[in-house]
Amino acid sequence: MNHSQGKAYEELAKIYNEKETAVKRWESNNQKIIGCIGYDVPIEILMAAGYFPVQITGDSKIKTPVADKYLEIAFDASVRAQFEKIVSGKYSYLDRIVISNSSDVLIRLYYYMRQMRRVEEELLPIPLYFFDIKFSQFRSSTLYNRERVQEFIEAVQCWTGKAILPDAMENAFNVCNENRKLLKQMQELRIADEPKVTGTEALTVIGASLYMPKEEHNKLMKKFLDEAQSAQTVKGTRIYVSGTAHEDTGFYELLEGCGVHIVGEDHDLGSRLFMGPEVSPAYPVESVTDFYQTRFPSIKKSHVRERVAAVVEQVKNTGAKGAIYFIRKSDDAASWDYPSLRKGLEAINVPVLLLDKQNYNLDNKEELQNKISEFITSISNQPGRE
Amino acid sequence: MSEEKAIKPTENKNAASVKRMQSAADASQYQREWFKDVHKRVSEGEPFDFVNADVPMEILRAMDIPFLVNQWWASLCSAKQMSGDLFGLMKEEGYPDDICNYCSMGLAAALDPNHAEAAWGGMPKPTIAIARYACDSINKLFELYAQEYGIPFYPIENTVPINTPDNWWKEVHYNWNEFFEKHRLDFMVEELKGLIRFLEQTTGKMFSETKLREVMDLINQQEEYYQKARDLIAKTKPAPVGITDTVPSVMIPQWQRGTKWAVESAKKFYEEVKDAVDKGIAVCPNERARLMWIGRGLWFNLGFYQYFEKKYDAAFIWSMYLGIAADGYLRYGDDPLRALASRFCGMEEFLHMPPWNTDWFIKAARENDIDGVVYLVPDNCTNAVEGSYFIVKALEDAGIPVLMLRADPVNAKKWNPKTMTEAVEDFLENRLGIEPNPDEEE
Repeated sequence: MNHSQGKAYEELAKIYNEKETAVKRWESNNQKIIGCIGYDVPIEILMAAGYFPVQITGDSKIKTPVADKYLEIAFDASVRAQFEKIVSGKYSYLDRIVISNSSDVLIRLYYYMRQMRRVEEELLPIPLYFFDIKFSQFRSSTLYNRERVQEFIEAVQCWTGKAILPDAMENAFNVCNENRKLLKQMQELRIADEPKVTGTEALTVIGASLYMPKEEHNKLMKKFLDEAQSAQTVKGTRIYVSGTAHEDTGFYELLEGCGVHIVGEDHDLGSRLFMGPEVSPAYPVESVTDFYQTRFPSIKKSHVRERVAAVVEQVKNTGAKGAIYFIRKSDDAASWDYPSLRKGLEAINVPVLLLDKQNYNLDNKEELQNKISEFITSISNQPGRE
Repeated sequence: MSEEKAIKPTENKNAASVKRMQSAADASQYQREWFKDVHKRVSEGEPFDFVNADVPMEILRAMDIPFLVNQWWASLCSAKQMSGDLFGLMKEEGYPDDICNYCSMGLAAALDPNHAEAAWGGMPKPTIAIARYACDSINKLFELYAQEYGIPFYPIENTVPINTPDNWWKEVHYNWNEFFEKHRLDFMVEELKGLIRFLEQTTGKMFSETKLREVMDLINQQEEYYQKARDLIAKTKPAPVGITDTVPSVMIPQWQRGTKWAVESAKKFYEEVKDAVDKGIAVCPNERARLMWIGRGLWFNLGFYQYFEKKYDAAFIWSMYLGIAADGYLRYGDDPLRALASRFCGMEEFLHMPPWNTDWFIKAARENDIDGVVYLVPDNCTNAVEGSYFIVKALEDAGIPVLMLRADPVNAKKWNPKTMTEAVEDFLENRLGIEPNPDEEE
């Protein structure tokens, strides 16, 4: 799909494509950099303490000899790649790594990395912190989470040796709220009757926010939103993507090459990153807890019914004619949701194409292309927006 | 002990084990009778819970609510060679048939239209399903299971330990309140209180603190016998029993822990081990290798272990089942609910995560004078991984050779008896230097 955006997008795309290399642009800010593993680390608190939080993501193109030695075959390929990048020194500039309880494999990764630091510290000199957030929708879990958030604030203050001042907290919260608001505006342009933003562009813009200071991202986002107003209207069959997170645009480009307009997704590197309530600086611990515990259900941690209800609602909002459920190998939890999700979507006349047990490096593009094209043809007569 | 017979794995068939201990045979018999009784009680309208193995079932025991453990059910179906058919049903419904095999058997059975013909008359219709958020899939599996039966699902939260104290097995029996992080114990106690209220409300049965104390006391008595048996096996050469004996003798009473029968069963088991020691009975009278099995038991093929006894005089004498019974369960103290919370706060890490498990395996290997370790690494379960690199490194650094096998302990389809047997034979011959007995050579 040929679709172009303005200069702000070009800048965001550059950062997105460079990822951890792009982070170095802001090294001169004299900010210490914290690497986050898992998408549920409360970055607001790190920012309030003066840290620059960046996301550690995998890379499907790299070989993983060290991960093959230390980690298990059962571990998700992305997690193995993240580990490889860490131990190979790609993130040597990090002051610390914070891991959130976002999936079972990340808990294991934390245990493994901690043990590695005990027995072979030279391979992993970066200190670790584990943020044990609960995702169950219960008051008891909220109370537990609040204690963990408070504990996290105290730990961060201990790292810097300085108290986080209320003004700094307020500023960080406002920046994050604004960032999520701007991304929601981008999402509106994506699902409009005359869409202006493609799925690949959305993934890029959202992803770029993870490798640059949020204030800078906000500035570029405002320009991007202005420029996107005058972009061409995106054409294609409206499709919702569910399942495993996509760390690069390869799969989205593949879909768009088959005449698809991706109107939304439920994974951590897409819409889930910005969906959720505002965080209030008046109640920092409480509102941070509420945001991370109650936002759009996580694929790994939610109950089947919670996720089905949330995805069905999303699909309705985006006006998708069909959905594609993509499951990467070892993403076991996503597999259990599929039969119920399919029923839920078919009940609102949205057919689903399942692409399961997919390899991390998408080495079967031709096969995928054929399946996707066949699916798109099969739903072309469905009612709904194009 | 009854007469020993050799079991020879063949290319396509998994071998059933020969039960040599009366306590194991009695336990199997008891379990059958117990299951019949559960059927009867359920048919009379009593509540019946389906629970995951890591659920504090002591609560249910104290409330006299019959329950069935997911993993016991999986081992039974697996031992009856039913897993292939059940996973076929999963596939028909759109579920994967090649992941989470150990934990999805309950859901598979719930999908079985011919359920009454299943193992031991099938699972009675449950009234509640309970699991912990111990991995990303288990809560979904239990939710779907509960949905199939139209019953409530009660999930219990799980926490992650940050501290890594040494020698947990020396601390957790008495010093558990200080050993585990306070916030984790506090939260677990709250979770248990929630479960109790939910059960009281839904079953109409009131929970009794006195009864829980009695249950906890009975469990301590039971596990003390396992400690004594474990110590006897460790120090006796040649070993009086192997894991094919100890696993069934321990596991069934462990699912029945908190009952007087379980205490008696553990006592009988210990006395049998002691009797074997006193009479000089051994798994391998000419014992040439003492082996440790790390990983889940081969439920569908317990005979696998016995093959090496005959051919190599190599006895598998340690598995986590008796090991964790002896070291992981005992809790002494005045607050039974908090003590119970502490039993479940660390169990996963003790078994599955370094440094807890690596330190423990080394301690066990040394106590048992182990010559070599066969380690079954699960290749499709994130929850069951144990830190294979760290385990192998720790044991090999301690001078104990390790063989890693990769397989699924429940799904017989994924187990190739020939390949696995050859791997262990190669390990025995080439790493441990043990030649096969001349009359057993092929």
